[in-house]
Amino acid sequence: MKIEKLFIDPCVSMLEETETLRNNLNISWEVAENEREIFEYLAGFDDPVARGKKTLYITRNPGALIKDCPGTSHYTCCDYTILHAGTFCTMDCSYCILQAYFNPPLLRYFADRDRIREELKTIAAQDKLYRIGTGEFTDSLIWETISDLPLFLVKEFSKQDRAVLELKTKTVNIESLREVDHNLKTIVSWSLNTPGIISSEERGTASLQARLKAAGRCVSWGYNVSFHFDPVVIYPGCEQAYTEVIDQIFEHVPPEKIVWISIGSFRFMPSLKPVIKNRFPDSGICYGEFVQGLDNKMRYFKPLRIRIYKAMVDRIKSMGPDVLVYFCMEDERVWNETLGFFPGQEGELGHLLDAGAAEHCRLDSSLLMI
Amino acid sequence: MITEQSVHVNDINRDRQPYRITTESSVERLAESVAQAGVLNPCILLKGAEGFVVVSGHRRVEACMHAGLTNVPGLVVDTADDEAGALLYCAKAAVADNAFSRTLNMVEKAKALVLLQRHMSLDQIVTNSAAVFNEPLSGKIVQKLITVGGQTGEVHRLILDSRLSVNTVEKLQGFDPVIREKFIKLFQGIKMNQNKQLKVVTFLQEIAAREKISLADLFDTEKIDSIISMDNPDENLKAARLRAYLAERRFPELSRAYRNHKSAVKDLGIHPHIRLDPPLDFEGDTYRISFDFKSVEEFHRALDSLIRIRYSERLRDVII
Repeated sequence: MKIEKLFIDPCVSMLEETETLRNNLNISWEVAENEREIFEYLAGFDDPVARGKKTLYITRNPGALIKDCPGTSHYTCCDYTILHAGTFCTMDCSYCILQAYFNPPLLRYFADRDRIREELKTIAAQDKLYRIGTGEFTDSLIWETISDLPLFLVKEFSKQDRAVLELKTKTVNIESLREVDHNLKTIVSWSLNTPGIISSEERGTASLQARLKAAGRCVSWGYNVSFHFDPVVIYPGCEQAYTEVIDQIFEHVPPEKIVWISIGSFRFMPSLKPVIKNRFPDSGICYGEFVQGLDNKMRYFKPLRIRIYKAMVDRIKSMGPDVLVYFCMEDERVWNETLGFFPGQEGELGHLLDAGAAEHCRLDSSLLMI
Repeated sequence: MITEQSVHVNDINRDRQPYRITTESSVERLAESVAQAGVLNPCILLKGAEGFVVVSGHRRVEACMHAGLTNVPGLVVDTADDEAGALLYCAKAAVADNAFSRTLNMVEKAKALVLLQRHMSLDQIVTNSAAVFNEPLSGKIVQKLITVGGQTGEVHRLILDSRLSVNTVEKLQGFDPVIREKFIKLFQGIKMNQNKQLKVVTFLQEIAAREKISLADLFDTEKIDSIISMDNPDENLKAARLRAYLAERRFPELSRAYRNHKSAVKDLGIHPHIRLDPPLDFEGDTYRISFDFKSVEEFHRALDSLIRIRYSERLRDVII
């Protein structure tokens, strides 16, 4: 993690966690009482988004620590829960919505272990199962090189049986997860793409081979893993390229250790397009056949989505027939034409995934009936 | 220092017009008025080493000459005491004298802003815009118009003829001059409104990016070239053909789906007054049937047609 500028909120400056981060980064730092002054600092750069990736603000989370994934209407959502431990990312993917999602786009680390402990206790006391991830507003494992947050979370989750933690990443920062008694309550998860897309659109991320090798290592340490093909990008030859990636998954990981594989094609708020055109002028990712979705996001023309999904699902099913495959934000026709069923009832997809998590991660399956 | 003087027209250097913002050049009517009533408002003139330069009142000076007057009444600005202050005054006066007597068109505003920009910062222009332009201007519009102001006279003429929109000119700034020239030539030959111009620019840009070819090569493709140089005076037809071709090339699969839908509806033998529309871009799942009728008989005919297609096996080719 390459941080060039560090700001610290005075309200967390005395925490041990902050001290650890400061020591690991070993750079000078400034006090910042609010984000406005950091935004002004970032605004002075030609590419504030790029600078925001090198500027870290250690602060408290001003809002909810645990929140529901912001799914959109009209498309089926997986009812995921987010543990909001930080924002933004040091890697630089052209399609990343976080470029246009936060203002300012700034690396923020929310220091407050006590609050995380308390919230997890509350969750563990509920009569329901949770799938919780830290990879929605940031990459879960970019922090691993400067903080023991991932390790802390793995340990905390190992103490209960009602929630599973999914650490979603494009890195190979897994060393601290070794030799931990994770009690199967952590799923280490990789966002995958084809080597062509990784090299053209995912600056600073680990290669496909490295990600899959890391997944294999995690499996050797007893972890379950999962994979997310999101965003699937449609381009000439993409069907073969994605199916080859699927083949490689199964060369590195046995199917029984894969909790789920999700698939979602590239979709974006219209406001992201000028950001991509400006920051990634060589990227062709915006020029697919996009139409306006019912949630007002741009998405590939549906028959194109169905075509690539079918190819991918068929290959996954041929390699690992029992692996749970689901779509992120898709509609009834897509589900029916590719997977042959549609979890259309409210919470149905979430229940399916809970069941998968319960089976693989030994969660309290009696709660599935509630 | 400003003084009222009667200035001989021969002392005015009419070849130098750095303060001219008006796009109107005819002076016949004004000359008639001057001949009958004289110059009602004095011109503003800047005193220089090579004679006077008109700050405001270019047409009045021309009109005086048309009317055979030898002298024009002027407010003469002298730079001797404070050159920078005098030049700033002249720039503001050139704009305000026009803006407070009539509505400036886009090209005039653009030229006025370029003039002011020589003496004021963008922030100062925005802050003072109401006092100078008789209307507040935002920073965004000021920047956009300054871009327009820097264009050639040909571009200005196309804007005034409503053949090129200010937003299109701004968008074209991002292209290299050769491509910009091709776009300008295109819009010179095929009249379109602003939205259609912007759509055509975006389509061409994105097709080139999708197909990994240069815009120059794209312009030179036979099909596009043949539409642009079509020997048909109907510009609407040309514009429609160009947009249809570009839409099809930009969205081939989507275009094919619409074509197939249209053909399937036709095969269904549905009454021509009935519209059967698919979900927008086939993304949703709701189809829509609508029809107009002018009499009970027409209503019955449409309804009969609908009842007939209920049993058609081809209905599933339409509703997929």
